[in-house]
Amino acid sequence: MELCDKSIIELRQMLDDKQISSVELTKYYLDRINQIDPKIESYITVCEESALASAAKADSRIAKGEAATLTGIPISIKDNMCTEGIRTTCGSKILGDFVPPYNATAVNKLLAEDVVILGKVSMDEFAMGGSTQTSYYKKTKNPYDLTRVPGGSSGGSAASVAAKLAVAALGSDTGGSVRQPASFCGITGMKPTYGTVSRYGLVAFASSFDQIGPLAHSAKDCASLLDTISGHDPFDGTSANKKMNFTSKLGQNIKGLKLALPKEFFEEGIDSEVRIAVLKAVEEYKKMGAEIVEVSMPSLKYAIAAYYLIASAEASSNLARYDGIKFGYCSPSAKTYQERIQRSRSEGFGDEVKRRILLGTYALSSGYYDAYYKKALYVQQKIKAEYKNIFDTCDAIITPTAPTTAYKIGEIEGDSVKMYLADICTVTVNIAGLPAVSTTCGYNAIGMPIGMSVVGKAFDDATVLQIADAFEVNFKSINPRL
Amino acid sequence: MLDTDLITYLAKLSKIEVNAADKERLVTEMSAIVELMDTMNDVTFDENEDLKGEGVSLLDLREDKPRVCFDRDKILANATHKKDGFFAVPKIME
Repeated sequence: MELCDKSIIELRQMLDDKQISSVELTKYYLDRINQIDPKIESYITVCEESALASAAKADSRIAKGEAATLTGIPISIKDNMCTEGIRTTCGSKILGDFVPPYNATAVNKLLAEDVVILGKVSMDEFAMGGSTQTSYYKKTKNPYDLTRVPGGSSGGSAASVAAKLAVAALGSDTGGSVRQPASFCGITGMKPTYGTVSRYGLVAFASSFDQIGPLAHSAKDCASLLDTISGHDPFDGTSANKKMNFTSKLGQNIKGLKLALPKEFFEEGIDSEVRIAVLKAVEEYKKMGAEIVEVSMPSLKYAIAAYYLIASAEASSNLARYDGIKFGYCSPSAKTYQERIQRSRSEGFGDEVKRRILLGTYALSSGYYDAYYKKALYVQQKIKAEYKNIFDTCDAIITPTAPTTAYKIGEIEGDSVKMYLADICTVTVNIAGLPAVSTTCGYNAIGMPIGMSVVGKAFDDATVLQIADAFEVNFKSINPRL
Repeated sequence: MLDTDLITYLAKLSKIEVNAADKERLVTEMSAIVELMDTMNDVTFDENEDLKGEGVSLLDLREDKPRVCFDRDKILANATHKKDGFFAVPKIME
């Protein structure tokens, strides 16, 4: 087993036993990034100097016997989380030179444990996309097949972990942006319950859906990261005032748990290899003693429209702050005040971001508000009620994470409608604010990973991780060949 | 129906400059997207239903206490145009 195949728990042991120092481990990962990332293009910014300084600081802490779970562990951060003094682009030209004057709360919590931040990784512009091909900077490739997308929007996070260019990563999930790339890249990714991880310092897309989540090689590693980054934050008004323990149920028997399969998630539109792999995993859960129940979510057919209406409405408002004045790109050709705002936005935003702003403005504008936005809020309530109904009798829900495996670069990402429809398996979790983890449950005929999602009740994140972990301990994952 | 006039109106509200060629392209692209959103036409609900979004609970807001501000120079460092400790913009009043 190579060093890059070790889990966080194994690396913790090695660091504490002085088998390796954090500086050595960090240099090892920086070397891998230098050698392998030119093919993958996951990093927008590599922070070599500050990473080595953090590693040296971690080593002093370890020497004093004061190491926390993640002390000295090298990870990557999606480029939409503010990092003081480190450029944060959000994958957009408009934030090309933006150097935040403060850290996101999640980043501060990592730094408090002396985690090593290797760098900032690529993403779809403003997290709007599922392929990482709308990034203004690095159009990341899938480590399993460089001609395919890594998924998105946290494609840089997922690819950096899958290619072992970081032990783990932070991503953000507004409609599946952690889970879908985790699925495409054959790793584990979790969107915790809304309000669990502070959004302070996360560049806002759709504030009522956005949630930071971990990507790693296992549910166990994801749980460790969540234990560190979660917690109440007075700087996020939607932050939950609840104490959570993400590792509390890991390793516990799942015998007797009731797992629901909503039939609409297994119908037409789901690739047959994906359906078969997920149902095979369900059989494994049966063997472990779980009870399987078929359920229904009739409002799923409205989920995509409701999601895109609410998310775009919030985006059109959130992205109003980019005016070329306070920070971000400023058009050099603008002469008047209005031109400065309009041209900076026209030249600074990419096509997909502009389409979402226009859609959001349309949904909120006079004459269309009732027909679109208000109905979307109604569908949101219906979906929440349907989830509640399922959770009245079941402990968790199993679905595919995405209708397909990773597709070829250039295949569908130019077609907004096809891209939006591909989010069908993930958006309802954000609409209802629930926790969900995606883990690899198989590979298709050409070796591309297939993801399965475990969805749980709000704040029952520990059960979701327990169920994913129970499958992972007996699953043989295949590394990408790089 | 989306047309170039509606795109012009939405672009104005969104403060995005759109040229004539882009308007035609956006009509096609946005029409396809709006067609997908029209799935909502099948949804009916009681007009009296309370449909507020989740929002932020006003009971949980932090105390409104003064705290140390960000350093002015650090904030201005990200602005392209600044003068005398302020953001600078083109003249607004003629």
